[in-house]
Amino acid sequence: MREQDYMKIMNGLREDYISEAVNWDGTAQKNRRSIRRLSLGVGAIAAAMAVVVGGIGYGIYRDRLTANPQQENSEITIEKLNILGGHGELHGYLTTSGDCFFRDNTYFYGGEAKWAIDGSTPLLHTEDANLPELLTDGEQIYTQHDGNVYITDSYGEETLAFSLGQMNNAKRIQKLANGDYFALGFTTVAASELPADGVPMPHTEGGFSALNGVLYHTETGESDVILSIHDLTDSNSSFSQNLQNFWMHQFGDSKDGWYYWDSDHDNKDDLYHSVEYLYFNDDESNEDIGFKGLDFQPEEITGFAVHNDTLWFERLTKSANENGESRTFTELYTMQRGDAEPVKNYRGDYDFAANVPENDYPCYSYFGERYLYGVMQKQTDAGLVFQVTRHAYDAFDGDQTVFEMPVSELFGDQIPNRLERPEYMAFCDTEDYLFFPLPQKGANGELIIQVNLKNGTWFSLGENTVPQMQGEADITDQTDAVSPELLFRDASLESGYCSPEQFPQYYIPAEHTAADTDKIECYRMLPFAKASESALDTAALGEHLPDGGAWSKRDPDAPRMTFEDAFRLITGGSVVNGTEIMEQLCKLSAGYDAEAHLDRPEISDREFWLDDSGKDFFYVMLYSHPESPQDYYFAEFYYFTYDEAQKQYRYVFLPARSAEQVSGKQPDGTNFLGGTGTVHPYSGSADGVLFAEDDAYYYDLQSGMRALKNGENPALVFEPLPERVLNRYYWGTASCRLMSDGQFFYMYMHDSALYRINNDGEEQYLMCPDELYGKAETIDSEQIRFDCLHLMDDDKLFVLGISSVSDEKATLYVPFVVDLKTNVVTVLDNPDLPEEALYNYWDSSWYAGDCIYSLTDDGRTLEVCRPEGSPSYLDLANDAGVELGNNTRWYIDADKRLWFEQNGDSYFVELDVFSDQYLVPQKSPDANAAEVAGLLNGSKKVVSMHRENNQTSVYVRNPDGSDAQMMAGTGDVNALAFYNDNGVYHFAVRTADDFAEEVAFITHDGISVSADGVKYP
Amino acid sequence: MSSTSDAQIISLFHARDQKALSETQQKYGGLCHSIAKNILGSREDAEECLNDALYKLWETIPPAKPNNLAAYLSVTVRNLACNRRAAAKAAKRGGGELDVALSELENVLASPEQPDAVLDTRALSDAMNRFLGGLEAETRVMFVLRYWGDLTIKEIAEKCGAGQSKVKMTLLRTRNDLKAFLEEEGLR
Repeated sequence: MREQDYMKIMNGLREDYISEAVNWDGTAQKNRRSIRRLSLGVGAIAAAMAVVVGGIGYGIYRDRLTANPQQENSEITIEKLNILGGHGELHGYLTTSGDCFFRDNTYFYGGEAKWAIDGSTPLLHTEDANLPELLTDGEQIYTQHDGNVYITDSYGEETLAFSLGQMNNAKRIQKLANGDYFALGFTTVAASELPADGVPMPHTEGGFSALNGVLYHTETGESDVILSIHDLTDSNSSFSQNLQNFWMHQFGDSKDGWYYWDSDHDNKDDLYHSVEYLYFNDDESNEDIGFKGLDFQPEEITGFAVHNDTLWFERLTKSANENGESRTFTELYTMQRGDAEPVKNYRGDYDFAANVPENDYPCYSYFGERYLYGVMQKQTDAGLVFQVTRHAYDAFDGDQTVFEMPVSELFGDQIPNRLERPEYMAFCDTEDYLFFPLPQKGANGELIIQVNLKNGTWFSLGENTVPQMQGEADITDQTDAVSPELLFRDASLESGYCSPEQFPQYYIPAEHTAADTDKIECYRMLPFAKASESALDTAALGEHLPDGGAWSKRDPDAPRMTFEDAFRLITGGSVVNGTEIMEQLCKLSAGYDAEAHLDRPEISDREFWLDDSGKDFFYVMLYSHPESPQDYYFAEFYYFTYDEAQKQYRYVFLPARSAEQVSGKQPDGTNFLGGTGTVHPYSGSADGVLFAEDDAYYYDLQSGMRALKNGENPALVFEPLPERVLNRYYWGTASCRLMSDGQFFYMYMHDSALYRINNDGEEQYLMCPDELYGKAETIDSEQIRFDCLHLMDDDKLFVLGISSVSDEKATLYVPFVVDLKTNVVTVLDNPDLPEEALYNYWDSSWYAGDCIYSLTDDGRTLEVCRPEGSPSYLDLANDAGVELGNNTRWYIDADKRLWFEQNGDSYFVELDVFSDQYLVPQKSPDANAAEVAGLLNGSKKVVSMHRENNQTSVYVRNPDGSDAQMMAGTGDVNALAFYNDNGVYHFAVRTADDFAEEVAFITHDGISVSADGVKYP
Repeated sequence: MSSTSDAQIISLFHARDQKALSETQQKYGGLCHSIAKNILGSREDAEECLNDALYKLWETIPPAKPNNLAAYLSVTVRNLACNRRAAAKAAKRGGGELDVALSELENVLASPEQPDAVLDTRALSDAMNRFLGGLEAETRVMFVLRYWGDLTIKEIAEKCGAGQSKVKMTLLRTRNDLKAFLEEEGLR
């Protein structure tokens, strides 16, 4: 066998098999349940919690794991590339000039270019990429070859749409409402086939090309030539408009005027009859058309559209101003069927013409499917600006400015004296983004502007520069529009049809057919209400609800909750806690929801109906504390919809914290606090102290404040953090606890999981409380919180878990380690220890090397826990009488030296605990009146405060006991925090007197010291 | 292994941060080096091949945003290694693990009576894909790592967390199954 043959065969293996193999992790496969849990996200976390409370929740979780086994590998499967070589489904869009654009998960494609939707690439040429030529009508995507037009899916699977017949090549295709197709394209007619009654001129030897508009009847396979325009060599011939429901064409000289094609109608006869000439320069038009003749010359009309039987058009005209100078104006008109005259359209602020004449900067209208767009240069107080506005045809309450920029800034020295009509301008509106080419190249090579319509951010695209995001982003409104159907197509979400095992309350037995839909005896809200009781007989419903259940009737005047609102709230809103999401849903639904309790008081269900049929609703399952039903642990969210074809409900599980949609990841390149550069957290000497800094700001996160570093020294003043940051991390509530290990910030979501916040805001899932269950006997069903994080090395995080229990019991501490690479949790616990001997002090555990040192509650015994094997113990209270009392701060440095305050005497001793050997403690020489503040990360040094005569100094103490003063005596220090960045020490010292609080941020590089003082407002 | 996520590494590429290369090498260099080494039969050549692949990543990301960085890199490495092997035409059989893998599979793919017959490689690829689709995931992984990735038995055992004997037996049974499958399909 030839080697090259072998190579070829192997090169033909499917990519997903290769991906599966190279990503295979045998160790991980052995712990498949963990992987599943990770891939399923917090939804699984919530479900896994059900292991504790038992019952239906666990059943759902188990079913979810087994329902779709291939989902296990979803993380390691290479996605099939779409027909344009990208990832994800393709969607087609038409611009206002009828050009076709496409998008997938990553790129916009059009012409011979593409660019990343998120602005991560410049404008890229694709002419060498040998991509297929595609057409779209905004809904379907078409290819054409072999004389046929095909509908293609995103991956090139084609279905015949129609045969082109004589047409050589379709330029525009549109599926009409009745299923027929209309296409515009060129047909070459041989000279021999020319009609005898006249040869259109000019023509070529071989014949001539005609532009045909052809209606293709899909049922019969026949076609009708609607338009046949032969005189195509005239330079005035051009396509003018091509809208989703409207085709028109300008051709030839002025006598031919405009054709239009209105495909709003379902009846093909109407369609056919609506194809008529529309003359603007005389009154010969057919009255059936409804738009009678106008006095304008056709060349004055620069564009028009028909929307809801109203003709919109723009007229470009010239007149002289008071100085006799010729000026150009644009005027916007509307005309309804039957109107004798068009009406100059000044609706709301959409008054381009009024803004134009004086400065002779015409503005132009571009007519899209749902919006018309205005482009103008406008004189403002800030100077001349280039402005783009958007205006809905049906909304007359003013236009929306979607882009505005000083002309000088945009175009530099090449400021156009006046904006010539940018004939090639066009707008592509995808509802979430709008992009358009500039009328001339920008000062920095900008060619295209892309605006995020959700939050107003935008960037410009050139050929050689990576775009920079501009504008103010609102992170709370980042959720892209998503439809229910898209949800069900999302492979990352668990979805399916109801089964008796999964959702018996929504399962409809198969024997029920469409014929007896009204007799269906399936139930909603568990066995409480028949699904067919769509009239919402709340009185009857109430009879079915057990104690504690309730049905809230909706205020008939209250606005209906929409799918988008509910979806955004659950998966992408600023609310980050499941039970709070549920409460927000209650508000959003205006009280229109049902609640029922099952036989287990800790589980309840709620439905939020989107319409009165009950076929479309959001479902929330709530788990609460067994002893305190009003305190919910967590919530699971599902969207349900009735599938008419399958006669069954479909559901999709909605993770309440979808990583993509809820992540605090910043869209504009800033870090997660809204500043720039790396965020450096300070380790604090007191609980809750969270100072941080980056290149731009100092932060006091406990207070939700920041101060710009380059402010006017020395008067830096804190200001509130941006709302989006405050909302994101929920300061001041129990819903989110932000912690730091001295290098990273971590976020613990109440009822949920522990995340590490990366600098850009990406939230890296680490673990959830349920992963502790079963790993230590001391952990029972009580809720676990996390505290006291220490990064042991680059890939291990020590965490102290705290089990909240009833008042009678001592707080339970569970030290454990999370491997940051594998997310494997190792609990450092000794089941042999009596519960009372466990850790009940804050800061009572510390790590050094591979060991965790924990103090028992008598303060006399140090437990040394290792990842493997039994713990050992050090008795501290022997000859030296070392006793670490309640709230004593103590640390073990990297050399396994124990640093602590001697009880009541405030001095240091050293204790070598290397290899668990106990040595006689030595009093540190300058330890009087000192207070241990903590270890300086990445060093072997301890930070301490010395208090004398109401003055506090800050020292860094070396392993040998010597120290260096970092800050001279100052007033009453109420917080000290610090970090080490490659040998440069940073301190934040908060002091207060009777009048004000201030933080000194001190930088000490061993030689020089610099400081900024920041005052609180 | 680097704790940096693929997304972070790709972001580094997009930011033109050369740390992207070191992170990629740290995270996936081991596997890719094995693939290259076993094709080329030379550690030094494999090193160069891996460097070339990293350079190619640097050139193609951005604009590329690979969905799966490991697969993206390993396919690149393998292609480069194959090209390098063909170009050198040193193709001195007996050099790398590829030869061993080929010798194991050639009697399965081609009839022993006509070992040098021109094969319909495309049909064989398609058939092999169908065959692989019916295998247990772990078996498929072992097969692909052996005959696509040209990894040694030991390397596969380590990657799959299995013993070497299990890998050998699995591959043997799979080859036999493949042989029967191809005969049924009329391809041998």
